[in-house]
Amino acid sequence: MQTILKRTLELKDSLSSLKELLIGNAIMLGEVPSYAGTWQSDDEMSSVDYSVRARFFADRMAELGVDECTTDPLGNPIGIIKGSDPARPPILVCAELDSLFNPPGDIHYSISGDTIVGPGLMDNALGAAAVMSLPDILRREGLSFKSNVLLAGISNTMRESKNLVLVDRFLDCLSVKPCAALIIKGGELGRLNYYSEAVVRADIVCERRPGARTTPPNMIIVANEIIDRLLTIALPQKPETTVTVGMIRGGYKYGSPATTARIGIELRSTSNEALSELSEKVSSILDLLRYERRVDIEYDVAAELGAESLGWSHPLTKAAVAVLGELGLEPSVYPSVSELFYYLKRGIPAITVGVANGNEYHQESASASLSSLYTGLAQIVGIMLAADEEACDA
Amino acid sequence: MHESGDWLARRTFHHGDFSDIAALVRRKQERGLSISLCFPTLNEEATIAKEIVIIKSELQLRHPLVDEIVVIDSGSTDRTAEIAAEFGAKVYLAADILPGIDPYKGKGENLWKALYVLEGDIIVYVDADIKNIHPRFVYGLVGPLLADEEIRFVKAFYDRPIALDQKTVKPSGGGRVTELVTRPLFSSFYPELAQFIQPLSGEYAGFRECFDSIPFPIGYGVETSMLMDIYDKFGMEAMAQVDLDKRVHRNQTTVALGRMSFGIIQTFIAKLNASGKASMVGELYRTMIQFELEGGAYRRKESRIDIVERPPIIGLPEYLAKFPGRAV
Repeated sequence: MQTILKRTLELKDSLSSLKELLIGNAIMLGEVPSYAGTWQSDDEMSSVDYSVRARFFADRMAELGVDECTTDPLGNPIGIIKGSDPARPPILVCAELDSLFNPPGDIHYSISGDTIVGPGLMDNALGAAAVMSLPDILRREGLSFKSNVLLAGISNTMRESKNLVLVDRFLDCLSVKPCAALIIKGGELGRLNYYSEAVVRADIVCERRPGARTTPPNMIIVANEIIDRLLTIALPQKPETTVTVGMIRGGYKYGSPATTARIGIELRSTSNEALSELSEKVSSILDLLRYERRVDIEYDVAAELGAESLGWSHPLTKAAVAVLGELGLEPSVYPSVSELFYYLKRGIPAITVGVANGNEYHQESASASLSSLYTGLAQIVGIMLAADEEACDA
Repeated sequence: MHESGDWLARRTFHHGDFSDIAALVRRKQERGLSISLCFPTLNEEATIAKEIVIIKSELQLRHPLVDEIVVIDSGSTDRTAEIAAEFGAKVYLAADILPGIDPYKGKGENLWKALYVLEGDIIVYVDADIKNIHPRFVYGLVGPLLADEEIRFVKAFYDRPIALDQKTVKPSGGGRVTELVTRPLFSSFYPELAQFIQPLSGEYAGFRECFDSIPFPIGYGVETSMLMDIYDKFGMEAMAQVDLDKRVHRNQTTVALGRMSFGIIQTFIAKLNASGKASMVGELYRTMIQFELEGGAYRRKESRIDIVERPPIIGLPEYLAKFPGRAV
């Protein structure tokens, strides 16, 4: 492990000498709109839409000399770097290809001093560019692995509210279970997610009931009443459980009662049971209001994640902590409320890490520090080396 | 009808024709050529880093198409020079090149002096204010030069071909100055050059002999003058244009474009005079007169625009000492 940590520290410096290649990758990938276009995969039977960004990712991986580059049936590009022992399970390094924030019109990134600026950069163009850069980094640094390394970009995760379901399907398509998985996010550098929180994300949709005889109520008032009642729910401090009303939309004209209203809520808990109880309470409140107000109220669950943990003492977690420490970073440990759950529930040892320090993640002016990017990339390679040596033998 | 016939069809390319960069590198090596890229700059700190990063990454480190990236700076007061050097470009202050010659300030001066410091057989000039820089800006320009030995000079344009498809036709052309000044002038005196979709575009590439054997106006008019001189010396068959799709850059005010137009007209008339195509009988005034409205009153604003021209650099002893192969 000491040898790997020493190599990781050396990488931090040597990667800054590849800065044009690394920044070039981030710009070239980030300026390809993640929502645009379709392309046909090699599997011509497939009818899935493929993003142009996924095509760019695949082409670039092939150009950078991965041993194989393929797409899964969902159109997700996967580059394969062959290890010396093909019998071992592979190491998976993956990132969502899409950017959550997509501005109207063309995307132009810029470089200002130590900062790269551009919409969609931190979530998740930079994470995807980091994965895409790995074949070049490994080749130029002369690094090889015992396990095969799978480098994957997962596309369409932010399109049409499909969200994390497509990550679940991506994992369904893997023919071999990886011995370790690294999920790469744009930021923040130093984050270490090795456990997930139970989460329910749901839309509550209030609509006038067709053919109602009494004067139909204003749906915004109904939505307001729902929120009031949600706020009366007693929440335990242990296990920590929360309700967040994150979005609200309704009405169409100043002087007319709203005929529809929509509330977006997120329920979270460190316990699957506590979350289940909370979700039932929410359903019960909505059932009651349906009768009391005689309106249609739909409880539409968009995503449901469970609480899972890799464990602090797992070799992959320990390797990540050691690598971060060697790079002078204090691990920022907090629960994932994203795709990590899908890996852990399948028994795939997985962690989520960030590749750079950034700002204004979901705005036009999203930015990342270039110097932190080199450290972030060294971190990824260091954890991969450690996983290859230790986690995959565990 | 002028002589060039189907020049437009034969000598108009799309950058996509040359996107196999590895093949371009092989062609360059087979022909034993080297390629220099020059960015003339003046206060371009917002865009220069990205331009250098993208070209260096894609066309030097990944594919060794460009042999050197050089920035010729007019004396930026921002961090342009520092940033360019940080990302690995060779940076020169124009005034420091050929110190024995009285310096001027202007884009044409930078382009002319660049010829002395650049080492390549093929020289690519790209403006430094492009926000959507992409490797196509360079490989699109050098592609025709490498592919066809007859082509010696390539000019960029940023418009779709005139016919979008079999049925749709849209007006096509350059910016306001091109359509209101340059194209009418070319149509009147150099109709073949009117076939360049964007004669004023700031991106072009050519073999060294195209550039070192022609004069360079130091300010406005360098692009117009260059086309006329290369046409006179090498003919239309040695020239080509390439569609680079879209270019995003700063827009200039109409007042600034007016001054540019004035400079172009001045340059054009001077060249007409010199070539004998037309002759000035009276005096040519050098001051552009414009007006500003301030506090309800119009105020006259005058801009003196002198046409200063650098002679062909091939006549300079310092240049010939450095490039003895260029001696006639």
